[in-house]
Amino acid sequence: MNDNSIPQHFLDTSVLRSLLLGTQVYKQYFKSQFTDQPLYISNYVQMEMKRSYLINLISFYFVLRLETINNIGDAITLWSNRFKASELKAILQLIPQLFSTHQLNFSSSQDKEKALAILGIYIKRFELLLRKKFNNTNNDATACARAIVPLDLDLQNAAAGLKQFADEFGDVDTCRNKCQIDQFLLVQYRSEIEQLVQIASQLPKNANTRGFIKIVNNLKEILAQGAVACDCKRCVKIGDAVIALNAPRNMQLEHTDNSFDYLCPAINQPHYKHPSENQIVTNI
Amino acid sequence: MNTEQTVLEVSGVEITKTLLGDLQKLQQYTGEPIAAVYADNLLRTMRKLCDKLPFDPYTEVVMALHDALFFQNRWIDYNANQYKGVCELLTSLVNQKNINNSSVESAILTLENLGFDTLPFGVNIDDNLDTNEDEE
Repeated sequence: MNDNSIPQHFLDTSVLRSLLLGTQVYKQYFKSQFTDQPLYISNYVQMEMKRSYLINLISFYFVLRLETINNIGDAITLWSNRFKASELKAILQLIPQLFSTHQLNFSSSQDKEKALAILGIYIKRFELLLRKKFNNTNNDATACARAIVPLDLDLQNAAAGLKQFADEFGDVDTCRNKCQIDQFLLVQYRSEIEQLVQIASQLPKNANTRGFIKIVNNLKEILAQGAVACDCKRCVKIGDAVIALNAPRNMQLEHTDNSFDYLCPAINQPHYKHPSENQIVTNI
Repeated sequence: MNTEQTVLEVSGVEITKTLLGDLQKLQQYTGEPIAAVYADNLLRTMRKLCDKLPFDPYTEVVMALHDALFFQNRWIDYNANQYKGVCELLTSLVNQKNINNSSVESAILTLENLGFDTLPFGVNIDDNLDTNEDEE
């Protein structure tokens, strides 16, 4: 750290997501915490945002674009009836806000094309801010290949660019062949992971430890099975550990997840757990 | 060239130029009720641009500003300096006549740096939504 009193900030996905997509109150909370100091993220954190939000936005774009969907309302109905996971609900919160701000008619087939154009513009802007609004540590020791799949979007033909991105981002076999997650976990940070396994074995199972223990159970399987157990699906389950291990030790890892309370001390990673959005809103 | 042809050739840069007057008035009348006169006109002109030229590079920049200003009527909250900054930014863009993708990206980042929240739509993130379980 350049100055012990002013830590540099490295953002976990939970904080990045809140800065990009949180309510105004929550964004203001983080603004007050960071007061115009430089904020850092990694390619891997960007990948988690693309996996949990951008790819769902793109999916909604194509639901709306379907020839069997007449208007915005139909697309929302289909999405809400068929896709129920919590990260998919975020799309249901975004879409009415975005299209209402543009005063689109949810029952009009004429406004469907306008909606597609506006959603294309929003997706392009979101990806831009994800890529450029924050400083990149330029140090992703996992060499995550999904993270660097480009989104080249020509708005006149947005569907082609979005499909290209979805194809490449979804090609986890090719991406896995290019990344070094096995080296990262089994060689570079093997001793730290063994230490985490040891710590988890002594913890009681409760609401605070549940997430950490789940992560460590997956790390244990990786230690037992080797590189074959490392794939993009597994990365979904161990993301916090990867982020903590790859965080610059001279920066403070900013997060909202309980798991980091156990991950960070064991590897001497400075960290700070921020209140949840509900806690901030409740305390106003 | 007849009048009809002139109308058809209205470009993103020309419509963007017409936003400047309203933005200057918003800068002048920040915090006063009369500012609504110019906010209303600004909003309608921005929409006209998006309706006529949805894929124009100027539209992309203007829509970023539109979303920052008109979601929950946040145009009321921005201050004179911020409006001054956006006037300077748009003036610089319209003076370029043609802008490329790099200029669009740079302009949107400038809006963010001026304090305009171009992604204002809040998604209430579930406390229990653990990134590690997102795709389980």
